[in-house]
Amino acid sequence: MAPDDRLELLGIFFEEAKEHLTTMESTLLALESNPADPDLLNQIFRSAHSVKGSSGAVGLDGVRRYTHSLEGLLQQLREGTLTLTPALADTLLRATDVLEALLAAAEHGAAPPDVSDMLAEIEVHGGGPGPVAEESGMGWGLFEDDDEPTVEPGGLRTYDVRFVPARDLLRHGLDPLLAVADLAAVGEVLHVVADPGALPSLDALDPELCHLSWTMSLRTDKSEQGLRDIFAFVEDHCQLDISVAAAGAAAAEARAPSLATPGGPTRADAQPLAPETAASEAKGAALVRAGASSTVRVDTEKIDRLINLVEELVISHSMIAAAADDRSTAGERRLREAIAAVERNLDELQYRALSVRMVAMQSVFARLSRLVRDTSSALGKDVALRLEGKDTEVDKEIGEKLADPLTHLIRNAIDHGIEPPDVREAGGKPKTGTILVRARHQGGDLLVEVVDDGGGLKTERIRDKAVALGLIDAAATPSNDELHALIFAPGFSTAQAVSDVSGRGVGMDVVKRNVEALNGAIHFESERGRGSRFELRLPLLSSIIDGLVLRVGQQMFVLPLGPVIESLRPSAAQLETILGQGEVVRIQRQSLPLVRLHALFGIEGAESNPTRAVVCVVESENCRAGLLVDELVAPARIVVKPLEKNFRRVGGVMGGTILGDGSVALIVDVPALLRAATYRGTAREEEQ
Amino acid sequence: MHEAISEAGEAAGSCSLVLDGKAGSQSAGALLEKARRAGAGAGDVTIHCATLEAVDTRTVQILLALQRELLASGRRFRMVDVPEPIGRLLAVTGLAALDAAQTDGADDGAR
Repeated sequence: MAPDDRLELLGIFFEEAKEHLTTMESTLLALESNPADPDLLNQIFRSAHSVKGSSGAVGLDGVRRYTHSLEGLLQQLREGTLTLTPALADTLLRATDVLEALLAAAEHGAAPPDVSDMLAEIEVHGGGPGPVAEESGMGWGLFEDDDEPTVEPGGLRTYDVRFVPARDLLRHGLDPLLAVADLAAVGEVLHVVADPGALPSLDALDPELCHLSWTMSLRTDKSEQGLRDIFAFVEDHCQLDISVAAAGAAAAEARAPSLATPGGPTRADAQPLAPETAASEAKGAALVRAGASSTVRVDTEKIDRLINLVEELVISHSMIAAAADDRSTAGERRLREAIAAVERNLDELQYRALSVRMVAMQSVFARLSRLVRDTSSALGKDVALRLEGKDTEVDKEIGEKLADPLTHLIRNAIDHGIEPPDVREAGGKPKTGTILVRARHQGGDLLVEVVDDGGGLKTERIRDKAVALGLIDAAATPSNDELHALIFAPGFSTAQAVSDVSGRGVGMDVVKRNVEALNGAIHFESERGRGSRFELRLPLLSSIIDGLVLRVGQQMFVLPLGPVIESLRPSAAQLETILGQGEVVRIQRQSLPLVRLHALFGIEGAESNPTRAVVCVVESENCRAGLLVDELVAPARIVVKPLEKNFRRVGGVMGGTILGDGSVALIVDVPALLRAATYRGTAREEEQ
Repeated sequence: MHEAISEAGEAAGSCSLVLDGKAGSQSAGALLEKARRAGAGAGDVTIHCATLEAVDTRTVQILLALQRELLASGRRFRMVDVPEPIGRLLAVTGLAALDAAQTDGADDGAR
């Protein structure tokens, strides 16, 4: 297989494996509440089975073997020989985490994590077939095979079979030799070894006891179950492991000596592959890193709609061509209509092409149930999670980057918001607290709310902490809203003890920074005793933002709307230069640094007198500043184009865009601009 | 009913055994006894299989154990006239070494 094809296959595998992991985790959580639901268990089993099968197909044998072990445990649950206890549910969830870590290591070319403890735990519960544990000493062999996957033309697969008859099998009237012969009859035997290692000397030999075992590589069109059926009569009296092997490995085996040597077990190439593991892992890692790219699955309906739009554009083009030759009034009218149709189609085409990147919020929500379960359990609280708007679509990149802020918000809600069960009961609330996470579209934005019915923000405690940190003066009388806003200050936490969950003063500032980095905004409200509500407003597409078109001299800029607080033309009285702060503009008793964009970007011919220009007040990362521009032109929804492909990175600029009149505008990077302004202010202060 | 195992004779210290008919649970005891005797001897052992119709795991285990002991002491173990179905069975079950024209504990080229 060509390297590009291999990369594509790996990319698809990792994408699908993540989906299966998500399904496994969410379904396991559902199974905890409904342990008797066979559909849930079957769903988990199918996901594990799919990961096992496809990992073998792409040569990730370590992942395959680990999942095989996990699958064994799930199989016992399905058969009813095991019952789902809380301890077993924990084990299964952690086993899923380990599988995720294995996959992540494979994807990023890192060394596979040590899974021996997890395997041992699985075995304690009764799962995990022997060979996996036996083979664990040889490393996990990620990418130990750089060969072709298993499915060959004609639907043929190559299986590795290990058959260890029970010692007393012959006494049950069953002959293992015949079972092996039957197996060989359903396909092409690439390799077979009878291991007489356990055979005693002639003097000690009891021919009624079975001392042989077999390993075989078989290429066949039969399913795994079909092969197992051959052993139906002996399956209760043997250890039988059947797994899919890579076709390339099978070919190598076919080339290898296939006959047992009389002196003992078999063949040199039956030994573990450990010596090659490190080199092949590195090869696999390099392969994955070299081809690192993000993929997204697209509903065929979206693609069909795109194709329809392109077809409509072709028709419109024909209409324009025909109308262009017609100089009559009717011809002009048809031309205008055709141009209008093209504009409509182009607008829709742009939106739909960009929406190909959209994924359902379900992908973001998927991990929240586990988060709530583990966090509430760690803190001894009862918390129920409600999720609404799972089908709401969002740009894949935004969805991925939304996971961290949501995690912080939910952890904080459980740790600081939701009260312990006895406190809630004493306060007349249900013992179980509720966190609602709701996503929806509103006005071209994505709105995500995190609402809890906990105790709300403790204003007095926030005030005390703010005074202690020197954020406010002890005599100051800020409003509740102003005090509450301090929770987003870096290092601010009112937690009374540092825990794994919170209390280190990181979290809410990260939330705000992450949301702002996505050109979004965060608002919240809180009522003492009733709970809190955080609202994250984000653009639907990372490449489309709402902005304000500005002019500075002859250069056009776009200011993302999110950070914009207000704009005004200042009076002379509002302007002054303060020692240590430089030029400032006074707005509502605040002195904000004045950032002259024309000076920053070296633009000539711009208005330098602020009283004849416009100041846009922007806020980011708890800093505010006034940006001096010549004119506010218009609000606009723009497509962000990266500059780095053609130009070197420009400080204070996050990209460019093409405006309706064809001119190029630079998009202002507000956080970077404010950081630079703050730094200059600090530097000036130090110079004084 | 066929006698599944018999001694074809001994010559110059070597031993010949005949496997006949269906070698299985009925004949395993006798085969083991003869194999122990052959193994305790000093010569090569030849198994004649021209009329052998079937083998089972018991028989195979005895032959493997005998083969191993002979090879360990530098003696030859041979199965001759193996019918094609039996040879095929041994091949697909990883036991083809039993059916090799000749196996011995010394380097053939030195003989």
